[in-house]
Amino acid sequence: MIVLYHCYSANHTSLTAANIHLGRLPLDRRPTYHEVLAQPGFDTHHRRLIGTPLPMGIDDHGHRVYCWGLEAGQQRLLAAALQLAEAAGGSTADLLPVGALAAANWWMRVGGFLSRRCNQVALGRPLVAVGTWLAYPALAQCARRTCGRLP
Amino acid sequence: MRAMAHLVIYHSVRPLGACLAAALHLERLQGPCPPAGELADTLARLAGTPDWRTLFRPFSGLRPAGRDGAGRLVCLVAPGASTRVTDRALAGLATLAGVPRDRYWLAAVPEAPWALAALAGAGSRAAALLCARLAWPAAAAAADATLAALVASAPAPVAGADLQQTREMEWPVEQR
Repeated sequence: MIVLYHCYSANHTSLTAANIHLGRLPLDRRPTYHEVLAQPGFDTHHRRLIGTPLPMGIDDHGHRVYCWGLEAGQQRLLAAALQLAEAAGGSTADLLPVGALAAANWWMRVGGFLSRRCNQVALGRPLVAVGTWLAYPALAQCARRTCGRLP
Repeated sequence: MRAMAHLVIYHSVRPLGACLAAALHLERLQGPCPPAGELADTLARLAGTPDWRTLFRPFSGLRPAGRDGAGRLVCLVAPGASTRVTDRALAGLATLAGVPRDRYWLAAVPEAPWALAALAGAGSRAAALLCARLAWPAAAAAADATLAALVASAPAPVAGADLQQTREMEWPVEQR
């Protein structure tokens, strides 16, 4: 299976969920602020990568895990992408899109906006890291539920 | 290689630009932008309903517009995301689903200024007409460029994928 965690920019929410899924962050406890900041790819993807599914790794069961930024209108764009793939003769049976944005909080939104959109990294990154730390239980739950859905 | 596509997708942030480009591609509209009196009727015809505001509201999924003279299925996408993001997302997922890049053609249609489109979506007839007037040349350019690229290559194959499945566009994505 191909697991696609999607959110707005693939920098924080979906990326953290993907890293939890891949075992790079703990599932049974909340990581430290520094562990959140140190996870691969956190708050570093450029805006021009939004839209491209970004490979994060392969989990213990051989499932490929991606994070995917879809900007505004995620469900509409996701539906279009799946329908295009089907209409062009592709197979979407092996794809599992997982929305991670529901776990995001205002710390993450404001921090992400400052860091990624306004390029104010020194200001935005600590905010988004705190937001991710606060949202961690929801993100861990998202990853756990996704792992449970996989064969 | 891309020019062998038998699925052509016009996409824009809001439906107006993609609808215009598809109508020009399918020769349902021709020539330059009509005068204001006719333009209002054109918008209603494009929307398929007297409520032309639907042309300014993003929609979910892929919407078939018809088949062109060469048998290619022309579809619209207007998810509300920027055209660059839409382009990368559609191509990215298609790649993961194992679709060769030459099976489809993506054509982005730039739209009128955001604030103007938002006003039109809120119901301003003048803004809608101005949006259409501004979007028309961009849509015509997108349709012309697409047709030129498609015509310059081999004739579009129709074998392969079952394109009829796009007829019904009700996909409950949430249930996937």
